[in-house]
Amino acid sequence: MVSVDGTSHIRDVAQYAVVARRTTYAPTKNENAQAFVVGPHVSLTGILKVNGEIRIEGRLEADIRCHTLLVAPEAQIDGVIVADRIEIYGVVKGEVYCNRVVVKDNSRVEAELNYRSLELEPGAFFEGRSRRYSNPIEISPAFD
Amino acid sequence: MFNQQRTETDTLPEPKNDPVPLHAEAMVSGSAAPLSTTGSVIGSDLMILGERLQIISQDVLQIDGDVQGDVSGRRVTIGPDGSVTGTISSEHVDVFGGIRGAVRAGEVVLHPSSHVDGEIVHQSLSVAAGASFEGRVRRAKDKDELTPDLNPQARKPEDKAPLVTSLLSESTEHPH
Repeated sequence: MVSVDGTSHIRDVAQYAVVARRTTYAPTKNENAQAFVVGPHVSLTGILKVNGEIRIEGRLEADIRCHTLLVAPEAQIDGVIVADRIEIYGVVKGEVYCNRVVVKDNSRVEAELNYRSLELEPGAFFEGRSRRYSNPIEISPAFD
Repeated sequence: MFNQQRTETDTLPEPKNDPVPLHAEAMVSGSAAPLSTTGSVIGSDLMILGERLQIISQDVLQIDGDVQGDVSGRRVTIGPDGSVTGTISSEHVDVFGGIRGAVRAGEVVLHPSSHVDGEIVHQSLSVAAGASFEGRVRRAKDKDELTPDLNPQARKPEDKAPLVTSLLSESTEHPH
């Protein structure tokens, strides 16, 4: 589409300006070498605490506390998530307390998002509530 | 006169090189919103207040001032200095400024400088890092649910009280 009127011009600018360019899930091997991985055929219930990165590819009904959380496209998490950073390609339900929340294209989030910085790509499904805090981790519920 | 279609549009080739417009960089920083070359602008020196106020634009509307009331338009842009307290209904809403109330639109884009406090009903929502959003989000199941009603005659203000006034009347109706 060629933009001749101001209308579509703004639209184009907006799309590029938002930065929320749709990206696909492609974790590099090296980057995640240290990550704790919950594989695609794993289903887990309980509390998961890792002082580092977690990559979820399976199904979890769990409360998670970690530094970085990567939710793969086929993954599903149901629970309370407390982390410095979360990147969601899959499904997340429950409550999220993270400094930086990135919700990717084609993901599904039905949750309460408590964040300091939120980024949502246009193809993401998000229903729920959102609230900004200077320190969202501070207000997160304590795990047993 | 704003909507004159240029007939040569169809024959123009697609731009193939750098797709990022020149002033996109300025917008990422949230320092400037694009000024549309068509449509209406509510300037930054303007403040529009009123009970059951409705602003309806048939085309593109840019708000750089402060509006207390409901806004409808085919496309609505809230500039970095603009703010709306009320409900915004549109096909596409770009937010650089502030909104307190509700947004009902097919596409909602919250830019880094935006500050939204309220409910968003959408079909597509994108939020840039740096934007502040507090409130509920719901995705409309039906696109028709979000089609803005740009016909003032068809409106019955009694049926759908604007959010601002309903909030105001709530506080006055319950003195006990």
